[in-house]
Amino acid sequence: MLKDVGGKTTAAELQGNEVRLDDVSMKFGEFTAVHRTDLEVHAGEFFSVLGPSGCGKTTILRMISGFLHPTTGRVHIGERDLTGIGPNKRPTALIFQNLALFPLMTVWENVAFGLEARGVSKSERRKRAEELLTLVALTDQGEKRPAELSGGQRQRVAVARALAVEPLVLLLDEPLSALDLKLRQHMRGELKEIQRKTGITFIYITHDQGEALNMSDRIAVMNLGRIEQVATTDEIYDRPVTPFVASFVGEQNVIRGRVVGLEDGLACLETPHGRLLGVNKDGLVAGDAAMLFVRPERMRLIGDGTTYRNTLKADFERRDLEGPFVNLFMRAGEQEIVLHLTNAGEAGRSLSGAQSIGFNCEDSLVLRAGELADE
Amino acid sequence: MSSLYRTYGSFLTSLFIIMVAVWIVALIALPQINMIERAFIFEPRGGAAIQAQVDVDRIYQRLSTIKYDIAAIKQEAAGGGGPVNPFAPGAKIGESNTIGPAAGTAPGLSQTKDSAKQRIAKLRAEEAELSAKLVRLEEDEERLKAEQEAQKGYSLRNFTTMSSIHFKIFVMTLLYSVCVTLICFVVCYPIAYAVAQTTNKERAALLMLGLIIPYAINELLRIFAWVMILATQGIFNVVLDSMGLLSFADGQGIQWVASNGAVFCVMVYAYILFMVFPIYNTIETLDRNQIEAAKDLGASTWRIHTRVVLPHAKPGIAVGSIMTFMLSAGSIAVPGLVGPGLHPDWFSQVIYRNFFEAGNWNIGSAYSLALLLACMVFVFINMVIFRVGIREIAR
Amino acid sequence: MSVASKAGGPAVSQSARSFGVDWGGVVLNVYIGFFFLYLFFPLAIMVLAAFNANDTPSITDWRGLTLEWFTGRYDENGDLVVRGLPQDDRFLQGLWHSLLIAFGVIAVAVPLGLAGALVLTRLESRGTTFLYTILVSPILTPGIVLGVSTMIFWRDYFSVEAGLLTTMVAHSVFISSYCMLMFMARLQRQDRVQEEAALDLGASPVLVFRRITLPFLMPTIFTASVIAFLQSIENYNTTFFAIGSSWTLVTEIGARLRFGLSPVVNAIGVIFVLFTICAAVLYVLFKQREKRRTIR
Repeated sequence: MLKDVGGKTTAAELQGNEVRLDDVSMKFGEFTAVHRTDLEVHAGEFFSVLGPSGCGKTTILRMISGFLHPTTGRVHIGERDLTGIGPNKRPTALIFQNLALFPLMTVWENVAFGLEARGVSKSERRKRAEELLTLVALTDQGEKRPAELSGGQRQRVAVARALAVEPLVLLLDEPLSALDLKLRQHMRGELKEIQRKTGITFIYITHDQGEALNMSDRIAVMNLGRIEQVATTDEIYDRPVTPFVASFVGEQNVIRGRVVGLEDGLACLETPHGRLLGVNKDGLVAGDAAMLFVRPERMRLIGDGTTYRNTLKADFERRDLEGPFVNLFMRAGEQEIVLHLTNAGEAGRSLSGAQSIGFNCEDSLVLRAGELADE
Repeated sequence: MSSLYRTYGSFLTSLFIIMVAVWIVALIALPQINMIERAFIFEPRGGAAIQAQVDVDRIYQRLSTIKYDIAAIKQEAAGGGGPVNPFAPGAKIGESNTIGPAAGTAPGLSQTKDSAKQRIAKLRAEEAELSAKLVRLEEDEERLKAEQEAQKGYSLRNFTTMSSIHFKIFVMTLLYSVCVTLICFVVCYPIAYAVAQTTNKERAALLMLGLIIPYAINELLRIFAWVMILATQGIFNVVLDSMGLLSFADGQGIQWVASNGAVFCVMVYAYILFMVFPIYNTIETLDRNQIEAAKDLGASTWRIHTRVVLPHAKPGIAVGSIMTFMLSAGSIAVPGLVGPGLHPDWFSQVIYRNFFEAGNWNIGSAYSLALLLACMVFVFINMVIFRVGIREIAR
Repeated sequence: MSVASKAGGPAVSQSARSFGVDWGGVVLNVYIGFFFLYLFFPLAIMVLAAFNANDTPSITDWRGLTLEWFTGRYDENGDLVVRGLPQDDRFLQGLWHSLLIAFGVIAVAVPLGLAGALVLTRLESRGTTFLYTILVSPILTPGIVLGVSTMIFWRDYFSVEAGLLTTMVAHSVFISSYCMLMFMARLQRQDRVQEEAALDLGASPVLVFRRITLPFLMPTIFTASVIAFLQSIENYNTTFFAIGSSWTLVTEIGARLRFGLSPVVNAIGVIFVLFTICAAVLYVLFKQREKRRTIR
């Protein structure tokens, strides 16, 4: 499938297209962008690196693509150690945040550029470019200039251009951030489809946690140069291991308190709203300061007969309608509590005054108190 | 270096660096260093040593001639033609010295053996006398040469032998250039300001066009135009004549061109536009709102200019001053064309004379160096006064 | 408080409106008028004199309208009566020399300037200001010094006498600096991401340069060549000292002028002026069009 290009790798040489960072760190003078860490991306998976701006995700991407030389550690793709090898000799292709299409070349010349660099003949290049353009549904746009295309079309040219060099790993640097909502959603589907079809390992960086959850097989959550958790999407969502991950991904209700004991293996938290029980992931003991996390969609208004082990009282403030969903904002003292309901049945219509809220222990997570993600 | 290397690879990077190196070394550094070195080597051009050398050479020649004459006489006395004396008049140089009957070039075929002996004796006497003289002269020559050698070598003599006239010219040229610069600034500033502040786009374009056209026309032609005006038959005199202030009939045409004043005026005309454009460029970047704000706060026009506009235009003024000064101090066109020979030399002309008329390259180099240093000092002063860095001097 | 400016007038000196007239503005406009008169008056005279059938260029001593200085005139026998521009061999040869030198300068100065600009914009050490100063210094050096030093240098080291080659070298010294400044201005507006993208796609550094950087710089290369050409053709100070026994069009003009005025020079002047006006008008139109394009 892949042609041998002097210096660049072929499928025959590598066992696979997994990516491995061994004890890698990046320092710029006194500033540490990425603290020493290991990272492993499985062959053929859609892997996201998620985090706020400045967390170091772009740095990791640039280290894998070859534009930055890691201060420590080594970068492996498959069996090959690629540390120190320049970006033009790595089996990676990068889709830049602002796409970086070549404005003075036509669309097909853009797509064929990687092949041109490999000395492929012009007619062959043209053919391949046309094939790829058809793959991304831009069949007749080959002769245009990038400036004449819409944002979404330019996105697809960038993808086609990267695919033309048949990379083992495709690196995407927040490629959808400049698009509007509908287009973004459409492109998400397209990218997933391409990844499935080609089997290329995708490493996708973004600050949009919804996007990461939507598209990825596994996610790495980063903050301030450290990888806080690497897991599948469900695990990241249901079982975050730090307060940062818990609050960064999805919505959370956070209740602060102090552990007073253990009950049935669950941590019992003394909070301003009473005693609450939650899954004791951190192995906390009595006396530890802790935070209890429960997702808005896991909370219910008590009144339909179901009993919950955790209950608290709060005053109804307002109801926000989101079409198929409803958000109920309640207040318990200083604390805001949000409930997320499907817009079926009563769905919080005509509420007022004090309410009782209930939720299961399995749905509440108790973690050692720590830094939350900024709003 | 790493960014360069990473993007362009080793081949291109080394290519570019080599090109820059060649530029710096071969075009900028070496010629200047060479000139500076020459400026400090004093080559005395004393005539005494050369004269002695000429005398010695002459004697050598005569001695060779004598040798040949003697040999010829001997040959002749022995019968038959002798070798052709290449030094004898009439002998064609290049013809081989064939032994055998020469085609009528051997002298004295018909002389007798006795007078041959006499002549040889005479020649020998002369030879002895000349040889003695030669020894003395060669001693003299050695001595004079040694004296000159002692004077040669690095010294400041090139500078110190600058006659007082030349030095005065040097200073005057610099002073005139400063004056030209000042006048250009005073004249140009309102123009630059007005053009930069014009709101009407068409008018601004027209004004710019009006500035660019004279600027783009060769300085020689512009100077020539003024020379025409100032000439004896030129407009100036004609106007004065018609006004009755002088009369051509009486041969009273003022030779306007024959003064340093004329040179000065023409120089202002020639270089004034070099002051306009830099100042225009900087004033154009001034936010008009600042001026309006100043006016709103009650500032007078004078204050607006001195406190708001001028400080902003400082880099432009610096560049304009540097260019105008440099062009004036180094101008060979204006003094050369405005009444050539009719006014005291300018420094550039002095340099020219040293190179191409006196062949005194080292002194010429020294004077060039002086000019260069003066310009560098001026640039430096400007950078300090206006507090501009070298980067801002780029257009 | 909005400041209303007179239509077409500079938005300056809105103070002191006496009798409803903005005296400050009037004075300024009058001043501008006089300045342009000062600039153009001598040129007008020079142009007019080219059409005067007078051996000595003048407009006061008018001897009839003629185009002879542009064409020359032969009498019935085919002998040259009036030596006009086309018959003036030295001028024509001088023009040829000037063109040779100018094209040589373009071939040297544009690449050097480009190399200098590339090195300076990518170099990340603290020596860049120093290097910059050295490379820009020829602009701040008097033309005489450049011409003299080049001439001496080539004579001393290569035994090449002053002439066309030394002139071309002397020109290149400072014209390269101008070219470099132009390239630097353009390079500073370059988005390096494209070079990175090209590298990432596997392009060799030479390919990146050929397909990405050079096309980006093409307009500047063109502009720099034009500027280099113009600066070389019309240079006098440096040329005068480096040309030795040869001559260029401009030095020939200077030589003629030194020994007396000649109307053929006026004719040349007229051609120069026409050429300059055309070029300047084209330039301004081009700039307007460019501005309009970027606004859209």
